[in-house]
Amino acid sequence: MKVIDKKQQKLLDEFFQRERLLGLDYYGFGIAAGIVLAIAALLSVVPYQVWEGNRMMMGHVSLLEVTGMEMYMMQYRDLREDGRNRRVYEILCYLPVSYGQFVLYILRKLLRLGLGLAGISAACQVVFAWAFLDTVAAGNLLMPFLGCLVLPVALVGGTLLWSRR
Amino acid sequence: MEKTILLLKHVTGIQRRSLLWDQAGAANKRFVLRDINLQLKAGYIYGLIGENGAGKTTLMHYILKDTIPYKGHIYIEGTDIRKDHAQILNRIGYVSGDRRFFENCTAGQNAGLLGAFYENFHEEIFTDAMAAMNLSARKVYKTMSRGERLKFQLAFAMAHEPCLYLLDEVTAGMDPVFRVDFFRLLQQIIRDGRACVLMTSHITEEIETRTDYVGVMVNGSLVRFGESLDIIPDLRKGRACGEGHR
Repeated sequence: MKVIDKKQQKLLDEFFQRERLLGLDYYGFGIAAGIVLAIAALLSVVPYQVWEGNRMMMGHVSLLEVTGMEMYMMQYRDLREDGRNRRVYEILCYLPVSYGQFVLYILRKLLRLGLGLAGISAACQVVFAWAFLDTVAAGNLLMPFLGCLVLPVALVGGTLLWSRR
Repeated sequence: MEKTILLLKHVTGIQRRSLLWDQAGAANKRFVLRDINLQLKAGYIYGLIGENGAGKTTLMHYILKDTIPYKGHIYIEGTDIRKDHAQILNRIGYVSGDRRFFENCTAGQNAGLLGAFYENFHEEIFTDAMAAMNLSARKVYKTMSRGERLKFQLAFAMAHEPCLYLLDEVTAGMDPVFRVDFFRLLQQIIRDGRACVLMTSHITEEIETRTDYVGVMVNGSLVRFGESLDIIPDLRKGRACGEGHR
């Protein structure tokens, strides 16, 4: 049994591109996600050694990442009509697209975003740590991947799987 | 010999045990179907009747959704729906007052957005069907009455040429004039012998005169199935399931 149905993934991609063009409140979620993730990204490029005196800081950054990713996911999972939030899959559930492929589509988007953020954060942390602190630790690579990729994707993806429409 | 479109073999719902302690207990258990055996052939209109909560809509959901656990088999044109449920939905058209579409989009926009998921969606069939039902494709979905929404859904279903039409209480909100045209439309759909219609209704007169066969559901079981002209009179006399069923 194939896990990724390329045909359904392509159909979902085209669907969301068309949905965006119809202006179905898509941009609101995207802008909110952009603002929150931008703040999280700015904080996450600071080498973790700087936060030695305030260990909760990495937790706060992760929380911002989770919040930003949740808003990013809402672009695809939710639909806002007449002031009310609805699930997009309520509309798609009787069409030839499975819930598994729908979830996979969103998870792939989240993974791509998380990887990008983690990559940028790790690269910046390594460069800044080397340039300003004369020391580069494994944590400069590990913390961004844990805080920007693993934890947010696991939490946000988990809520998506749990909600099951 | 007519082709079998839908076949249900010993379909029985599985009651999942909740991982969490359920304070309400048995009262909140999901309603399940019990040992349903049903065969629908192309070229006929089938009715399904029963009291509220008998399982008519639930039976349709067992066919339409892949998240409801059950034992037994459901076949559409000989293919088990578990094999590739999403693919099978290409062959099923569903019309129901509870079905959701994009409220702020027009009928045409909804058809364009959602029709693309079907392998065989024909815009021209959709347009012709909408015209036949005197409904404009430029009308915004949220401004449509219940009857207009059902007409749109029927046109949408016809456009992807399914072999099985599932109509859930669609005639309840229809005006009498359109009801006549609606059944004429259903006759056209099944005329070529490639599709069949399964519809639920509370209007027994309609089921008796407009459908070929009818099934009676009671508490999740299909207690009787046969020709509408035989069953409905029995129902009126309270003989359909030996329980004084109205």
